[in-house]
Amino acid sequence: MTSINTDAILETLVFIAIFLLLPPLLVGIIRKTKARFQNRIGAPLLQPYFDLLKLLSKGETISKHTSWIFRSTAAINVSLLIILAFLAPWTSLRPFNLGADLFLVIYLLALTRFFTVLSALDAGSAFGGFGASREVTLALLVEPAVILCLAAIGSVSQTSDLGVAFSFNNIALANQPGLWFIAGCGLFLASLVELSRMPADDPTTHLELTMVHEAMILENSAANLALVEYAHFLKILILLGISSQCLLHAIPFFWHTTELILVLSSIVSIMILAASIAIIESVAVKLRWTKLPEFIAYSVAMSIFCVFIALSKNLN
Amino acid sequence: MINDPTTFSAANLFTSASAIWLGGLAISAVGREKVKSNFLAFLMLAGALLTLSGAAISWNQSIEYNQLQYICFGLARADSLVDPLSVPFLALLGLLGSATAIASPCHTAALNSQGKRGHYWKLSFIFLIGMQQVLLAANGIAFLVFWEIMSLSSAALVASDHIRHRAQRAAFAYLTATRISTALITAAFLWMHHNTGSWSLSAWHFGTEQSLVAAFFLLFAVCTKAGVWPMHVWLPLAYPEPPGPTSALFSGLVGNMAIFLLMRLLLAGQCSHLSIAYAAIALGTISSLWGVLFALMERDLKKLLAYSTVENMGIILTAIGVAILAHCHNLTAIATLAAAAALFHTLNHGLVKALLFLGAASVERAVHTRELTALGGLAKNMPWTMLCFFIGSLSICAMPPMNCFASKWLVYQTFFQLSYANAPILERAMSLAMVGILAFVGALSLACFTKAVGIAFLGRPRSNAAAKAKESTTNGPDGLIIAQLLLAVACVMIGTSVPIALDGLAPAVRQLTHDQFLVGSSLFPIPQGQLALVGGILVSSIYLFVLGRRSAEVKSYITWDCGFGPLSTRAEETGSSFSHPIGRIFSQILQLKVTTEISGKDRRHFPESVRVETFMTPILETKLYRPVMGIFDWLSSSLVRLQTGSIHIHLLYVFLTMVLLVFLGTNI
Repeated sequence: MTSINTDAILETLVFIAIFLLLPPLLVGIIRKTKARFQNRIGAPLLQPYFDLLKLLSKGETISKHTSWIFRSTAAINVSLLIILAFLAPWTSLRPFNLGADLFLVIYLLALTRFFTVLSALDAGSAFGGFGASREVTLALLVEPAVILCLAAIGSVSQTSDLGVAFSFNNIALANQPGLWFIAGCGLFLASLVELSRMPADDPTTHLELTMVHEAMILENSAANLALVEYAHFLKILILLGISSQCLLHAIPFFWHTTELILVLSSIVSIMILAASIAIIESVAVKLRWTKLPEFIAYSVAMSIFCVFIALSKNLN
Repeated sequence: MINDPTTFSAANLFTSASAIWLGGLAISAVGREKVKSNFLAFLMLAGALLTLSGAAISWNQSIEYNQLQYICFGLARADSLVDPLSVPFLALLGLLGSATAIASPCHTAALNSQGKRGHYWKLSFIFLIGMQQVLLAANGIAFLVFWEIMSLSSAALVASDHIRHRAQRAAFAYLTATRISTALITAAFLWMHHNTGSWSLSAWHFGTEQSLVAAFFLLFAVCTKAGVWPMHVWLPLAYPEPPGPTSALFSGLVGNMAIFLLMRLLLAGQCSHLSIAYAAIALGTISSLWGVLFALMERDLKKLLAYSTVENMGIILTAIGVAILAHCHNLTAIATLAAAAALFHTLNHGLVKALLFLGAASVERAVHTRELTALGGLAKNMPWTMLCFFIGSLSICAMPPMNCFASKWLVYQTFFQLSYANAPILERAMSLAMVGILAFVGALSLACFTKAVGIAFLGRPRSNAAAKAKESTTNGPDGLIIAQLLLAVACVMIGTSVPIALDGLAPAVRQLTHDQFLVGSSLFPIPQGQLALVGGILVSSIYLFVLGRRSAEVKSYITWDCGFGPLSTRAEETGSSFSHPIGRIFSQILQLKVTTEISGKDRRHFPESVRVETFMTPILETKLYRPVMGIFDWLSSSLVRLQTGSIHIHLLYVFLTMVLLVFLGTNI
């Protein structure tokens, strides 16, 4: 009895350690890969950690026009993403069964967006407004793709609980590599947009009128900025985690393997996806704002394929 | 007739609520000058609380009584019926009535003429009585009578500010819509009476072949009254017009009454026409997309809220459609889920929309405008209004842990479960598509309400009036603010205790779907309350340990201005620029056009003046309604020719009519 308990506690500790420590490393991986592509040595892998620590020790400046929304957004977003990290199936290591409802996960993500957009509008700067306006536009285009990919998977497994749908014991989804692969790709493309990565937004520029995410957080500084950044890193972890899980499910090998390999490979696959973001950013260009709907259409098209597969699977 | 003590007391409570409101009406009509508005507000509040308590004690049983039996409408008596379905609506009426009563005194105090005050009180009381009796009506005749009382008094409320052209137009459009819907409802009632020989609403069953026409009449009547596409055009005109506090009643209940009728007759009457289900789903879907898109582009705060009603009515209608569809296929679980979703969303939406309209009324009172371009930065001067409006916006965007999330989740779940149920493949495909459409609508409404909150309350004030806005007329929060707080607390409480609320609605859902084994709390398995608690603890610990850890080092400074010197407020994002990117994507539907005019010598690099204008042509009004109105205009101007004014011609008409009647009488 005690051994089971220690196992559970150990799993919990590992899980918490992963989701607290892994996110900045992912960003480190992205930056390092990009630097190597550009023939630079680049900052150390752990630089995002140092940045966060430095930001925490700085003095904060707040615009006098802001209200409580601006002050509390970062804290609320970090908390929401921590809750999401416990709910969403971004890794196959899930020590708790909290019931990751598909619609709850999507709407918790939307709630973080609600706060981010409001805090961007709060200071009354032109940049914040621009960023906010673009963020809601992108979200609107991406949201149906994300929900349809996940709903198709849920529909085949006949439950809206992603925890059940993403477990490797679910026979209904065992022989569906096509569905998993297309869903994984669709979600990955959608996450590029949701995470403000390259074809949609350039995370390295400031003060460009093309940017989305960086424009919204222009007024944040010090601890507040650190929290915003950390929340964004967590979002990278969760979204990439979900798409990598989809891709892992597409490979038959992982259905018949041990728990430990699964956990390790789910972490490694998140890192691989992070590296592939870096590769995409190195070889692709940022699309013009008016061309973005066409890019997102790929993701939507994949989600529609998922829906067709799901419908044919349940044909009775 | 009356033997059970609960029956007796519940019936008494409802009747005395009506009597108190009637007394209020009489007092405001007769004793004008002497009566304080506080006394009238007290009467209104008392009636609302009696309604609320009547709903509370009769929540899980059906009570039939006829205390108004001495009132007879020719064909039937004014019988009353309290069944589980009307209880939640009565509770909503009680709650919104209380909020209106609390907010009323400070509204009437600001009115300058005695006439306007009298108008306000009289019509509000009639409106309340009408709505209560509509909910209690047991037969078609009583229903129609009170439905008319409700419609006409609300039309008069829309016309309160009748000197303005805007209000005249709104009242006219609203009256037209209510006339059409009443005509259709009357037709449907007559049809059903002809089929069944009874006027009792509960005796009508819509499972038979003959009832199809009546069901279609009802569906279109309800669509007209609730403001579903394409009959919604009156809604953005009429919703903003009623005076402040009553706009809560108007926005929260008028549409809901129509939905109530649909549920009472089609759902509880076991409608089993697939065509009705398809029509409801199609109209609902278009309505939700159309409503939210126009809400997003709107520049007027109250019109934005009104269009958002179009969206939500659409969502409710799709859920009702699925309930009928599932009933046709004998999918009891999905029918139950859909009925619960429709009912819960109707109530939640009524509550939230009333809250938001009160917030908009508060903004209008403080700034004297509803134009988003003149608002901004109100969070500083109007903290309570901002908080309540914020909670309302969170809720209407269906954000967890608010009440609308629960009901929207039920809607999603309905479609999701239909996608793997034992139904035809096309319907399953439709249901998954609907999941995507709902997500799309959800993202649009997020854009819409971040715009409403962000542009109206955050940022810097865009006008002097907004900079000098004062939240309340007294030092503390006054009635209007307290009413908002009341509704906001109700939203949060329902949101964090959804299982209890669903248990309370379970009898009503059982009545709608005849599913006797339903357990309300098992419909919604997400522990929203606990999640909110965990979230609250996390947020406060982050606030304590990270943000507020060294509060001494936080300094306040201007918004970053790129080093160019103080920013003008005109550099800020405006409402229309916020929604412009989305507007461009849908420019075909919105008929959005932008013209840019740059003038000056070297106009490319050093323009002297830049003028940018955006135009939107409402496509439905110009392409569909204007031609129809044209035909009506032409017809009526042609008919005028008959009326020459000459007595001889009129005598000829009388003679010809008589000849015709004699002919018909002898030959048929």
